[in-house]
Order: sequence, then structure tokens, then C-alpha cells
Amino acid sequence: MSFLSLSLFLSIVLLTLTITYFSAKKTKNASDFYTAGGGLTAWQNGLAVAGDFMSAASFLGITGAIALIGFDGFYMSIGNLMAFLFLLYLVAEPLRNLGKFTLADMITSRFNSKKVRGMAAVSTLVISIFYMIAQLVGAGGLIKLLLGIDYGLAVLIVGIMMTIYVIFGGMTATSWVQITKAVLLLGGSAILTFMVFSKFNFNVSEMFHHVKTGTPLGTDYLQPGNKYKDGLDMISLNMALVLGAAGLPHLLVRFFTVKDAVTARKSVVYSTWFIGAFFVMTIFLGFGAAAFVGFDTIVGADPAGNMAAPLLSLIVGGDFLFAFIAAVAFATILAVVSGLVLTSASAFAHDIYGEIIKGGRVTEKEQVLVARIASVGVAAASIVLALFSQTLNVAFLSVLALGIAASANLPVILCTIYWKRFNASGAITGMLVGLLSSVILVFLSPNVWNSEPGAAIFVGEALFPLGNPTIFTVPLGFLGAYLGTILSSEKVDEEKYAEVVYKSNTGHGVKSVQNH
Amino acid sequence: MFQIINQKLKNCLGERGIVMSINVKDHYDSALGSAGKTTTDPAWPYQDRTITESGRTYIELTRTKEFTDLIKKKKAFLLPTTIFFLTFYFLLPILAAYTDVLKGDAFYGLTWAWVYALLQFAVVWIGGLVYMRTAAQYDVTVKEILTKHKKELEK
Repeated sequence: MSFLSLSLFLSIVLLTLTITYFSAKKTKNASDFYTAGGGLTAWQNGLAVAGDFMSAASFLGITGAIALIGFDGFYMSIGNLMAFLFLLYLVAEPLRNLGKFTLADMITSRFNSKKVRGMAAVSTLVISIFYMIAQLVGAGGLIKLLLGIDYGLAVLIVGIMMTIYVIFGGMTATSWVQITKAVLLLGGSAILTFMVFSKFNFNVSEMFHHVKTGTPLGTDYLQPGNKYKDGLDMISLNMALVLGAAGLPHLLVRFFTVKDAVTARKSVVYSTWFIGAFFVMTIFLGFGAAAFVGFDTIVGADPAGNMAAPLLSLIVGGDFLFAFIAAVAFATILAVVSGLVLTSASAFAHDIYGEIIKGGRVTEKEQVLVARIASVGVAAASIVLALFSQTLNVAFLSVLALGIAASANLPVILCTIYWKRFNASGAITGMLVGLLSSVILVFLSPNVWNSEPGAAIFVGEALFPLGNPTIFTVPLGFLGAYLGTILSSEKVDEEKYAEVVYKSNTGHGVKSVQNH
Repeated sequence: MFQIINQKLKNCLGERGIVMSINVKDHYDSALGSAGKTTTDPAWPYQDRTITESGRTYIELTRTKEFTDLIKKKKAFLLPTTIFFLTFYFLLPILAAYTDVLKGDAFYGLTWAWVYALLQFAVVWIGGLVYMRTAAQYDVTVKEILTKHKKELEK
């Protein structure tokens, strides 16, 4: 590792630790720990939400995918962005008005049932931990490529850093690390985009014509179908992308960090501007990498294409830009995983320990203490799992997490807010069916089984043909919620539903922000 | 069942002569506690349901004209727009998977696939602005509703 890379890398570590130091002073009670006291502004939360979606997977992954396979690499961007419209129109405001700290709070605002809360907490933990393993394994590999650190050490460094942010600074540190990284990433991408665009003489037409002839795919490069040959599988992937975000726990808890529904709404809209701009820039970066780095060099550095953006920065901007982009990618990884640790720890400390085991009778001090212990536990478990998964191809886990979010959480969230007849049994069966069907079908899919050794985790024929089962599991999740409801003898609690409708539409009873 | 609970209600409230019309099942717990107060478990933030003396519970508040009007307006806006967004979104992968229409050249060297994809970005940005404007109107209505219902909500 060069002196330049090392110093930029250390600056990121120092900067985030400074943020954590100041956040720790502000983190006094449970509300501070779980939701930064609900005191973030719309711009801050907009950047933080954007930060959650501008992950290393999107910065390095989408750029690489566009560089190597052209249009098919861009589906990820379209789906992730369009998801925000769905989130904005149907979910964000009711969620803010009904919830307190976690997704389970929102669902149990209608069904005062420990089983419902437990199920929602389990689904949160499964989604967040799958997501985290995918991120950590990716991080280990990327840091190895970018900075030349050994895989195990890289995972450990990321793991320790994320734990420090969360246990000392809670949601405040997690949010500010995310905001700082979002600004760095947007800035870094803008510089790269500008340099790439100048090489195409600031001419869109020249850029598109150039890549049409400059890649091994030829004119096919700009057309869909280079990667996804199975139409149903591709549509299924798109479904996971567009519906998953609205059920993703680490994203949904971000809406509890603002004071009311109006601020939540604005933060979604602002985040679409940041994310949209960022995804448009990934087109330039992808095309730039395809044109100036070249297919063979990108694949040579990393077969998945993750090195496309860093290599591009080396070619157009030299050593300094390369070191800067590598440091930004490192910050990106840190910010996203710390959000996941916090979400898992909240589900454990607030839902499972505080509400289910202790029946809500815990002191503020105890809550925060348990949340900190849970953070360490979750982080340690994820680090160990990530270390064991080094040689496995687990990139599919992040799409699986989106698929579970779309199949287990989204149907139940929507029914809780919009379906009068819905009941607690329906909520439990909906989440259970969505979760189990997603996990089982993926573990029978070609992502896990491949007849070629090394291509997937196990060698053999896949029993289920699609890599992405979401197109089946989302209807199954809804069906589970429907059947669970109509087959149970539970009476509809009309007053409770009226309360949910009233509160979700008016924001009546939302706890006001605490003063700092 | 109803009679037993009713009897308990009378025991609690009867002497004070409060006339109540409430949903029995929902208010069983509250009725056993003190009338007009929130339930006792402080850890449960969602139980601050009150039985107002006039008997106007959330069911009644949601049946008021001003509230049903708001819900109707929201539904008329949210439902068609959401359906449009989802249709517009899924049309891209469906066209890409089963037809060749997106493979043709459009302009500036872009194929129709890229044009359609970028249109989705425009839809998201415009959809966000439209939502902010429309929701700002709801905010005004909500404020009016909350002011009007203030008495019932505070009791």
C-alpha cells in the first residue's frame, strides 16, 4: 500500500472516529441510540437514505456491470430508484406516524401481540444479517484489491470500525458517517464523471457511439439481454429491486430519525435527487471504464468487474484520484454495514429483549446497555460468518435480502395500513410464508447449486430454475397474509384499525422530538 | 359475555353516571382501569386510547365527513398514480425480455432501452415533486381536522 493510499485511508478512519466521538456525547437515552433522538433534518436524512443505497455494491458493482454487460447492468439502478417512488407514495408517511424505533413497532401499533413483534424482529434480523454478510464478504475482497490488505484482516478492520460507531455513537454516529460518505461519494463520482465526459468532448452522442464499437459486445452493448437470458428471472429480479426497498428494515428505520411525516416525505424526495444523480453518473463511469480501461483489463483485475471504477480513476486522474476513490469506497462499506448492525441490534434489544422478554419494563439505561451488547454480538457473528464465507460466492445474498423484504415485510406493512379485515394471525403467516419461501427457493436455486464446481456454493443440479424467486414469493407473502387472516377466528378490532387509519393519516400522537 | 362486561362497566362508572357507548371488546381493559384515562402499562405507547365522555372513539372520528373526504381524496390520487408507476416500471423489463422494440436506435446513439430507462428517472423526479405538492394540500386539511377534533382527542 502506498503512502498516499495509507494516509487517505487513515483520514477516513480518523474522520469517522471524530464523528463518533461527538455523537457519543449526544447519545444518552434509548431514543438517541435507536433514532438519533428523531432530530435529523430532511436534507440530512435524505443524504443518509441516499447513502444506504449508494453502497459499495452500487458504486463499484453497477459501474463494473455497466462496463462489462452494458444495459443489463443498469437494471439495478432503475429498480433501486423507482423503489423510492413506491416507498414515498404508500409507505413512508404511515410508517413514520405509526412507528417508534423499529419496523416491529409499526406493525404492533395495530396488533398488540408478542408473536407478531417476534416475527417482525426475526425477519429484520434475517434480512439485515444476510445483507451484512454479502457486504462484509464483498468488503473483504474489495479492500484486498484496493489497498492490498489481506481478506481476513480487512473484514476484521471493517467489523471493528462498524462496532465502534454503533456502540458509542448509536444512530447519530451511524447517520453522520452515512451522510459524510454520501457527500464524499457524490463528490468523487462527480469529479470522475466530469473527467470521463471531457474525454468524450462533453458530447453524449459521441459517448454512446464510442461504446457501440469499443467493446467486445459490439452493437449489442447498448441493448438489453446481454446478461439476463431468462426473461422471467430478469422480471423477477426487477420486482425484488422495486418492492424490496419499501420493506428493507435498515432503510425503514431511517424514517424514525426525523420528527414527523412531512420531514420523512421530504427526505425521500431529496434522496431520489441524490440517488438519481448518482445512478446517472454510474452510466458515465461504466461507459468510461468500457472505453478507456477496456474489457480485458477490468476482467483481469476482478472477474465480477468491481475494479472498473477504481481502474478508471487511475487512468483518468492518476494515483491521487485512485487513492481517493479507494478511500471513498472504503468509507462506503463502513457506512452501510454500521447501519445494518444498528438495525439488527435494535430488533434484538428493543423488540426481543425489551418488549418480548421484559414486557416493556426496562429502564432507558438497561435498553441502551442491551443494545450495545447486542451490537457487539451481531457484529461478531457477522464477522465470523463473513470469514468463513470468503471463498463462497455470496453476492446473491443482497438480492435475497431485498427479496425477503419484498415478500415478508412489504405485504404485511401494506395490509397493516390499508386492509381493515387484516389480523395478527395474518401478519404472522404473511411474514412466515414470505420469509420461508424466499429462503427455501433461493437455496434450491442456481445461485446455490451449479453443476460446475466453484460457480456456486454446492455442486449439483438446481431444483428451482430461477435465480430470483421474488415473482413467486411476493404473491405467496400476500396469500399467506390473506389466508392467515380469513382462516383464523380472530375478530376484527375495528376501533384499533380506526386508530391506525386516523393516526397514519393525521400524525396524531407522534412523539415530539427531544431537545438536545 | 356482553352482559358480564357491561356489569363491570357499570361497577366502574355507574356511580359517576357517565353514559358511554363504546366497543365492548376494545375497551375491556380500559374499562377495568379508570375511565377516561390511558391504560396503565407505560411501556406500551400505543394504548393511550381514551374513552371520551361523549363516546366519540376513533371509529367515530374516522367516520366524520372531513376525515372520510380526506381519505377519498388521498385514495383518488395515490391508487391510480401507484398503479401507473408500477405498470410503467414493469413494462421495461417485459418489453426487454419478450420484444425487440427497445433494441432499435433512438437518437444521439441511444437505443430505446436507454431512453426508456432515463424516462423512468424523469418519472421518479416528477412523481416526487407532484407528491410533495399534493401532500402539502393534505397537510392543510389534516391541520383543520386535528383542530376540529381537538376536544375529542384530548379528553
